[in-house]
Amino acid sequence: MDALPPRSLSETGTELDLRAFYRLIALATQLDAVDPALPALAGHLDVASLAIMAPGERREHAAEDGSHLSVPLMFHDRQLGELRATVRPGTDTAILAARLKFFSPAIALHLVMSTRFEERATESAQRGQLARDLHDERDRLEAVLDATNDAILLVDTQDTLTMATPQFESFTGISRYDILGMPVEHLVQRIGERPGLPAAMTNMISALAGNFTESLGGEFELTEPQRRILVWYSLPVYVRSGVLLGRIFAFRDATRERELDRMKTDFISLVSHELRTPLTSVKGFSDLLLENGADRLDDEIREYVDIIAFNADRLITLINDILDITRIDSDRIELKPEGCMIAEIIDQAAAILHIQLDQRGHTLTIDVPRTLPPIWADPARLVQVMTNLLANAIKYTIHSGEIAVSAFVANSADDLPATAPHAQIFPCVIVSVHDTGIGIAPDDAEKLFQRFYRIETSESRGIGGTGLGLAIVKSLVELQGGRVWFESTPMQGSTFSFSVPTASGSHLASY
Amino acid sequence: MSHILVAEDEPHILLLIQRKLETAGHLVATATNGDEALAMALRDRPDLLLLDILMPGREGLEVCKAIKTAYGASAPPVIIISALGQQLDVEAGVSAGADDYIIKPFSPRALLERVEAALYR
Repeated sequence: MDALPPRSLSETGTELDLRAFYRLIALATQLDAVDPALPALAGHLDVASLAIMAPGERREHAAEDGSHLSVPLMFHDRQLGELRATVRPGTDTAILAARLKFFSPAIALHLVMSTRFEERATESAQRGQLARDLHDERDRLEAVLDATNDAILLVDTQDTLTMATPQFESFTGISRYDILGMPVEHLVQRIGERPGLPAAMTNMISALAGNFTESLGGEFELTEPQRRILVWYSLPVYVRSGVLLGRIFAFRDATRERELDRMKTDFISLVSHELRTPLTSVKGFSDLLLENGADRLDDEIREYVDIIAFNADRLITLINDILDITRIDSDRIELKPEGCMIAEIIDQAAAILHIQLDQRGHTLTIDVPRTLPPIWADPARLVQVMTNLLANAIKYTIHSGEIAVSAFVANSADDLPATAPHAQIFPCVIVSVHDTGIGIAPDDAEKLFQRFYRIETSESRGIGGTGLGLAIVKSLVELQGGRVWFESTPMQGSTFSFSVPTASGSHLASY
Repeated sequence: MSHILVAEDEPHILLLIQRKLETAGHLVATATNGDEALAMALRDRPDLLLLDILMPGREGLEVCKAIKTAYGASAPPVIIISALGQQLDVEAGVSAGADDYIIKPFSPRALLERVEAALYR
């Protein structure tokens, strides 16, 4: 503690001792509170004790009350309290009052300052804690984001890149400190400069930055810094209060996944191929028996060989269907679209199935005007679609029934039948296969196009199939820009329809 | 009666093809690998060849190309018989010079029809 003001103060009476005044302020402001300074001051003033009292009655002057002498502590016009001295007997109260008054502004000032200081200190401590909390929270969030395997970018509403996780750096080789806080165009430019990053990536970011409505996703292939397949998605992000934060771009490394997909497809292709070899012998020799040795077989043996041949055919269909589904799944189906006539495709499918039609005693009517415009499709794959639909019509019509194929052109949504999906490419040709078979219960309708789904009813029992036919039809038609739908009444029949764009439409650019 | 060379490493399928063609009155020579098939075809020109693709030694497509090159314009027709049934496989067969492409499994009757179609084309 500093030395106290000199005793000369008492000698100078009420005269202003500036040095002592400033020293007292200095002393007081150094202290944590004014109270510890009071005993020292009391000693200096030669009083028994000094105390700061809460404001009592407002007064401008010193007041004597027995052994006590009080002076108000004023700050500007406001009375903060009073400085009360317990006076030793024989003290000259007039001089003491003057001396107390001399010190009172300093004490008042100190009171104000210390209060403010405390407030400020509390406030600043609180702020500090808040800042530390925020900082910790941010640290935690960053640590979590940094630890994820995905690269995440956040572009705010001002088109500034405000977040880039380290994974982005490892996926693209672009330093995040080069792009953070920069306009999104800068990022686009940096991506464009790197030869291993696809143009699709810059196009996607440019197209979506500043767009705060759409959610999109896709896939890129990178060749540098490492060959990778990145699956991306991008969407606007809102905080809980509904305020738009910006748009995030997230990238996930799907290289390994795609590799596994490819291995699975290769494996299925290999197995299918290996299955074909023994099947060639099973089918070939049973056919050979029926073709070359029919006259030497008795009825019973002939029936058994028929069953072997029939089941060999089923197995072949199953293998082909599994191969098709696998290729569709892995986007490895090779479609070769060309301008072709739907009537020819329907005729080819009908020719493939004429034996089954005759065996079941069904009649087939084909009502397809030769004047229909050419369609844009892979003819072989469309024959497959048609064959699957006709084969189903034949299979699920138990006794001699009527199967009818019809086709017409739809130039706009007005030409569509009520049951058709509205999203279609126009103009398109719509083909329908109608049967008088067992029909489809509403419960089965939803699952009908799912893989390996087969209707289980007493009527359908014993009808062979893989449950892949309609799944393949749907995929093949949709891959060619068309849609598939059906309507059915149980025990009366079903109508399956599909659409396929004509060769004249402007959609050709997209194929 | 035509002289037909069949190359196929799977003995049962070889037997199946051989029986079907012999029953129809053709003379069948057999090989179980690509090198043997090529040597036989170059030594003794057959009227038609049926070649499997995946065989030990030279693959069927290679044998097909070699024969088409060696005989030039007078090369015998070649039919590929393979379990590789994708469009790309068939295109590879055609670009190797094959006259037809049959995917396994096949019906023996259809095989005979296509052999005769190629012979009398």
